[in-house]
Amino acid sequence: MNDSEYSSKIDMIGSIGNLEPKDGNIGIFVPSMERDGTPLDHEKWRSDTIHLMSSLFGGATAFEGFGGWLDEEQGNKVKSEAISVVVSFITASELTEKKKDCLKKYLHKMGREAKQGEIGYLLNGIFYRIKDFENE
Amino acid sequence: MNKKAKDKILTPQEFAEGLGGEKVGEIPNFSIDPIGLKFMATHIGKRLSSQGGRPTDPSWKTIRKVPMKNETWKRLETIAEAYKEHAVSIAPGQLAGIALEYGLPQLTEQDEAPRALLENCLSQSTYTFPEHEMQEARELTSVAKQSGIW
Repeated sequence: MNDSEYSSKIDMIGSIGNLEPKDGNIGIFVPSMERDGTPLDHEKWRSDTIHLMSSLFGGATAFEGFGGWLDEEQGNKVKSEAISVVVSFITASELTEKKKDCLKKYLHKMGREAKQGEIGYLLNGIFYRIKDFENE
Repeated sequence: MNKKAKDKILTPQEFAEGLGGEKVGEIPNFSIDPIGLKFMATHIGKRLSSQGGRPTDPSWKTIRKVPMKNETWKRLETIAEAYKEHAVSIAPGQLAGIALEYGLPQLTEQDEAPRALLENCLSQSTYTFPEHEMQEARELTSVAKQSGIW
């Protein structure tokens, strides 16, 4: 799509309704291995994450990657694995208490059930990690 | 009748911290960097087409003389030369025209589509560049910034 086509598309979208531009984003790092290296059902976790993020924020896209993290609690070992980052574009008004509670419940559940050392997420370019998972 | 409790809107920080995570760090916004240069080379390459002569952008209808320092022209020549390594043949003057298109919205805050397109594509790039390529691009980026092109 060239710039004029892009501009036209934006104008068209704007003329359809009172659409608030989505200028923020949130990304969830979905693991493929447990902390000890046992493989996970990555596709299921990714699919569940996409489903939840789409429900909360209107849509989600998964990007595949390969990453590592430093497990400071287990001898400072670098652990690497294939991951997916599920990203949703968001508006400021979508960051509500209820959505936060819903997403929090899911992230902590993923941390517990997938036996993770950490769960990572990005919000508007800032990276966070959950190390202590709360019970349901 | 009970009214449904209003769902309180949180700040990004409240939302992120409310998920239970600790902040680790911030990813800096891409200005122009190795990924940006690669994107720009690809984007520029797609814009230029030839009908027998030098490749050009058919939307370019206006040609004007633009005063500039010798150093600025030399830097345009350097950057144009760098794009050849990404298989994009562009003249320094053409590069100046494109730089104006991307630079002007920062001054006028209008026509955000090209800027949004750039930022959108940059944020989704997963390409990993060799270190020597990144170093060279950083140097070119610095030159471009100092000259006010980017």
